[in-house]
Amino acid sequence: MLPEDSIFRTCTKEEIWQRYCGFLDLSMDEFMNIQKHLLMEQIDIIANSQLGKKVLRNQRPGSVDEFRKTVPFTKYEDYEPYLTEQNEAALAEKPFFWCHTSGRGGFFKWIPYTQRAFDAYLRHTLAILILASAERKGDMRVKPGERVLFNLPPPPYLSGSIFYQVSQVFSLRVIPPFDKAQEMSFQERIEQGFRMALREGVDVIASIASVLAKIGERTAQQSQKMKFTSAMLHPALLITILRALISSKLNRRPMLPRDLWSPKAIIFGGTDTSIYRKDVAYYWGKEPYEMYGCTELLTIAFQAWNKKWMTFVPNVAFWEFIPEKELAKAKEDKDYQPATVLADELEAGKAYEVVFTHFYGMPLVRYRVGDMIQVVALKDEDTGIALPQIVFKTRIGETINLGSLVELDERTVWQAIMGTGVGFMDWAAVKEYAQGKALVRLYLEPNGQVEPEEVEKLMDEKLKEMDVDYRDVGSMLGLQPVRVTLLAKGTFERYYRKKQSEGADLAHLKPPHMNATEQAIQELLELSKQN
Amino acid sequence: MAGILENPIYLLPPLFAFAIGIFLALLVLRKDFRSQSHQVFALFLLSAALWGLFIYLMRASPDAQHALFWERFVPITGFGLFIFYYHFTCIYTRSARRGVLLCAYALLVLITAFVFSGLMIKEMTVESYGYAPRVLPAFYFYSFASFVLMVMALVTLVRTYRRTAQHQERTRLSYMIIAPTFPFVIGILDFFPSLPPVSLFGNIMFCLLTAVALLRFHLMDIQIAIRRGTTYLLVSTLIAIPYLGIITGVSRALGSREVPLWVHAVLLLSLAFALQFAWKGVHDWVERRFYRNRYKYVRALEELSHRTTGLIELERLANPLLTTLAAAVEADSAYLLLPSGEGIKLMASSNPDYRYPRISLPVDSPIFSFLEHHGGYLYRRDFELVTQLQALSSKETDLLLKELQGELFMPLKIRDKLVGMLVLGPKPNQQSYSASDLQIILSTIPQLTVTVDNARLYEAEKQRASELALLGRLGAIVTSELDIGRAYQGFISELSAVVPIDSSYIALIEDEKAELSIIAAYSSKEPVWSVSQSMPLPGSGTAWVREHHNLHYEPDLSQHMTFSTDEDLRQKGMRSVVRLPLYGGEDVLGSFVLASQTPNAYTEDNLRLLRQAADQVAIATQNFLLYDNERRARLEIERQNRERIELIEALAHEIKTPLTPIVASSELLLEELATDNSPLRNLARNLTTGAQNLNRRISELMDFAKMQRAGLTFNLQSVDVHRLLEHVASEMTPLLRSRGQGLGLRVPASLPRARADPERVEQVLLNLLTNANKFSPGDTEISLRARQEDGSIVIEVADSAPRLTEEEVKSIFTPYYRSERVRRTHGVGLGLAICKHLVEIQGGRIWIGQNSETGGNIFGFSLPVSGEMEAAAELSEVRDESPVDRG
Repeated sequence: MLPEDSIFRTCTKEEIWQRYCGFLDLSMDEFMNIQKHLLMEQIDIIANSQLGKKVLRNQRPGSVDEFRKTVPFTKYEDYEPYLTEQNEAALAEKPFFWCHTSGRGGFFKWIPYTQRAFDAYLRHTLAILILASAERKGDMRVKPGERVLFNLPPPPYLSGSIFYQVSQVFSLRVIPPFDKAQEMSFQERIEQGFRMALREGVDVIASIASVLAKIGERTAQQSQKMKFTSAMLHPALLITILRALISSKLNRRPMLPRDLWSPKAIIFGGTDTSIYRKDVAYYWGKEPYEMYGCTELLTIAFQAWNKKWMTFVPNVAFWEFIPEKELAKAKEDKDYQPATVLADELEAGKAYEVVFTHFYGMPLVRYRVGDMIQVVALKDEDTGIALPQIVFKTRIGETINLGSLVELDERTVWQAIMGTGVGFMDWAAVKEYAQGKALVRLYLEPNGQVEPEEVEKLMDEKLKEMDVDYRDVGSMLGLQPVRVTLLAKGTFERYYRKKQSEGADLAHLKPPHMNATEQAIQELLELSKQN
Repeated sequence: MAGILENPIYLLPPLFAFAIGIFLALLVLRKDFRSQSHQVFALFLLSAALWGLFIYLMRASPDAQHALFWERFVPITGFGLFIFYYHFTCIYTRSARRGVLLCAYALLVLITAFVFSGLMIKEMTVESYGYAPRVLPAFYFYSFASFVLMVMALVTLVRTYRRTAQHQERTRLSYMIIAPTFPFVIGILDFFPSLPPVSLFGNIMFCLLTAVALLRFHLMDIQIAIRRGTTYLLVSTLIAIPYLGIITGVSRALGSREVPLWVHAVLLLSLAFALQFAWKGVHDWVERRFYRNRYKYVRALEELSHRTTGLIELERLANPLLTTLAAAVEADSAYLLLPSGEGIKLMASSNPDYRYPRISLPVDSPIFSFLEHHGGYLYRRDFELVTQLQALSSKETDLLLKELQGELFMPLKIRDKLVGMLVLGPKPNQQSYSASDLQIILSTIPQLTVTVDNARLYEAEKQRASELALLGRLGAIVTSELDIGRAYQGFISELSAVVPIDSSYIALIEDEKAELSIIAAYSSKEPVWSVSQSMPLPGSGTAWVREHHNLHYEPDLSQHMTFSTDEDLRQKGMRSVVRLPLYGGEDVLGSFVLASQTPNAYTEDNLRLLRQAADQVAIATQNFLLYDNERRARLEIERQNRERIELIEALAHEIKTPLTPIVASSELLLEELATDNSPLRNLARNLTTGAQNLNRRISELMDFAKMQRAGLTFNLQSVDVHRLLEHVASEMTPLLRSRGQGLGLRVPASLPRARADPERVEQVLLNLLTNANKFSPGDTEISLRARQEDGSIVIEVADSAPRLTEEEVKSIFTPYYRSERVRRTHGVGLGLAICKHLVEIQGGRIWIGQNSETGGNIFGFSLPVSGEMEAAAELSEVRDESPVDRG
């Protein structure tokens, strides 16, 4: 029996809940005790390593305050070349495994995960499964052997690596299996995954939000003209489709994924989560569950069973937060070292940049991951969680500033496009200047026939609705600041294939939504002309 | 039939079963309405309730026909009861088998079909107790199917019980396993038609036990329940047998069936008295049977706890207590961890290999704070479950779970404050700690806690007393010695008895030079620092302690070095360094630095003591600084004085050189004019007197200068005072006569010899007599007298001069002092100062008294009497090495 399976077999539900989700019951003091105790252990572990000495500046702080006063912030570059070269001798502890994602500049960011760190992430992964499927506190629906439709990047990307490692200690039937998935392209994996899920059923879906929304949309569109094929003769598949058909007919609507599957949980990761939340809930009949993490740190915060806000986890990293005021000071004075606050000093309604220090012998110290979070409340009355509640705000640098009046982030632009009601394949937005004034140029591939002026008008209206600051922009700049360039049908698909043929990494198969490079925009325009 | 049906003993039990079933079902649903296991369990209870209801309706039926109608529902609800229980066990143990469950529910349908097709119950008969069914073969099938379902439920529960490690959960499963045996064991009686139906009571017990198991979190240990039950049963039997025997005997003896009430009363009272003895005996007997081998340890533990309440020495008590406790609960080992300054240390153990405090946890270990703030205790498996314990470092977890192999972690608390932790090792064959084990441990913990607290208070007092004594000694050293070097050596020698010190120093901050200077240093072996050595202040540890106003401790220089200046220390083998600020008011004057060749040498206790010791060092440093300033000022004054004396001496010498021929010439001139009565003779006399006066003054000045430079030579010898005084008297007589003054000499014949330099004594006498002559009116008598007084010879010059004021008496021996009344006379105010010095150098003293006879003054001085034995040895030269006044 796998080790985590035995926990599920021998422990009571309360114990299992306590083991994986118990951190939600912590008081602020208990949370901070864990933070401080593990930070001091971390300093002891890394202080003698080559990389640790470098980032700690040959110091061994004896207290949290001393640590914050004496150790400078770091970026990924500060760990070079040790991490990229996977120099294990420079690390404090031998890694259990390495994983990577793409850096913004196009190079891989390699991060070593230690065994102890993995043990913590394992618990969090299972906590995510439990919480995503729960509808109330203590509601244990997950059990060993769950079928997980996995639409996230495979190993050695972090999500794939962790899920793979988790599947070694807890019975999970990953669809499609990792060994097969690694040989497939992203698109193939998604198609193959859903095909298998039709036959085998699915308990948990771990996916990028847009993929699920798209599958939902496509299922609804194609259900009208569905044709029976020989593949459907498989008894399990046939029963599933028949049941779905009956259900859709009874509800007098097209067939949706919710008719085909009834997953216990849908887990999202990524910035588009809130944008597709409603669509996914409609198509899949299940409120999606959101978590916040990155390559450098798998689990930063995640939601409780009410799937409302997110709570920081206490035992994977030491959390510090740079308030917006401090960031503004640092922006004006490059030499200014912004001050940080700790988790028990956060204020509701304010936004902060996240800074973290790994625990369990992992290497990153006072690392500025470049993410902004918004503290929405200091506790959640609904769930009784007495810890700060947050939502992910944006990634620093992925915003477009218009005349210092408004800062448009990816989510706002995305929500505005969705709000226009214009169907689209994908989009990219960049900042442009016209007559010395800053504008947003939106490159949009619409699904149907639409005029750019019409989209500009709708976008402007939507942004005015959504962003108070944006309302002033038009009057201040003396012009409407949204410009739209429509791309021909299939442009993004061609871009994807082109990059694929060039051997680009998964993270670079699509241009970034915000502030794509000039080269990427040029390529899009050229591909658009090829239609 | 009416009489039977109206019998409440017959009718009430099924109604009671119905009420119990409904009540428990509501409780279960109230606890967790959404839980599937609770829902199915509620169905089980509802089935039991309906079963009771149908039995009641059957029993209350007016005739057999009606009874048969209701009786048909009884097996259906009865079978439902077993199916739901089995279904519940599948959900509860998470071992659901869909196929088996489907078959079971299919059987329910089949049995229902049997019932209503008349294949199960043929008819109802009327027995002495009420209605009884006449069953058909299908009824036996129903019974068998129920039995199989129950066995399957039991197997499921037993399997889960075996793989469950947690004691509480095992107890819960025990209840669930034992509960179904009641309807079966009691239900067997229902197969005897002559006996009244009693399976109802079995079912009530079944429902009650399982519901309690599900609803209550803390359950009484099943073994304890059995033990108590056995004890009650045995005691009841012991009481009942003699009671019945005696009653029967009395009844027979009296030949009547009625036994008088007083017999019952007497018997009950007697048995009540006997009950307490019976209870204790039976209880002990059952306990002994239950504990078997452990019984003697449990007793020993009780005995030990009782006898050792007053002990305060932790080692003497805790080790045997833990050994006995471990044996009593069959634990592999037991350890006691207590907070001790810098950490939580292992202070006692049942395992002789672990009886030294080499194992310790950090004082803020999360396990301690968890046990302090959350009730109860921790099992090994809680390390996997409790979020707060995820803060434990790998070292802490390894220590507790691998090295000590802890299975059970019990807090020792006094008024909600944690004073220690008891760790119990594994039991044989991976058994878990039972409730009775916990009972034994929990009963031992108060004793252990009291012992620990007593020992802690005792140790703290001892420590405080020894620290106070040490600090007292250090304080005495600091205040009794002005020389910082000597004070520091004594200080460190005392301190090193309790704190490891291989090297240490005091560094003073010199801001103007941006330097540190070492004013005292100590090294046990090779010198690491030397006094007066300087080092740069910026970037030094002393600069750090001044900035942070705190001590700085570097536990291991080979691992980490905060200050590059410590490289020298590391090279000389030092591993731990601690620096403490030395305060002068609110400012940091410098630092007190201690180093040891041992890594992590300084404990929290050491650092606490050093903080106090640093205050003493700061006092010594301030004393040193004051003394040093004063010494510098004194040296400066001495230098100036010396220069002044040298100038006077040189000046006197320069004057005296030309004066000598003037004196000689004037004396010759006076001799030449001795017979001349012309004014020239008077002029010559005046010239001679003035020259001699000037010569004397200059001699005095030169003498004084010599004294100041410690340059006078004394020729101490045995002196005949009588002769000396006669000689001085004859010498002074002409001068005295010149003013019409007489000199009375009074010296006893038996006056012993004095130990003195006769020339210097003569000088003193001449000075005193000259003053007497000068200040006494003419035609008065001056008295010179001597006497022996307490081993000294006292010589006095009594005059008739105006009496000296108190102020004059006080200052008259001070060099250059001249009172108002003598300002007009010649002199520089050195004569009496020289006298005082000359007398004191010879071992005597000088004073001024009042001459009551003349109203004048008495100038007296003493000289030591010369002994016969020392007379010879005294003929040696003594040099004046002490200046008259250095201030």
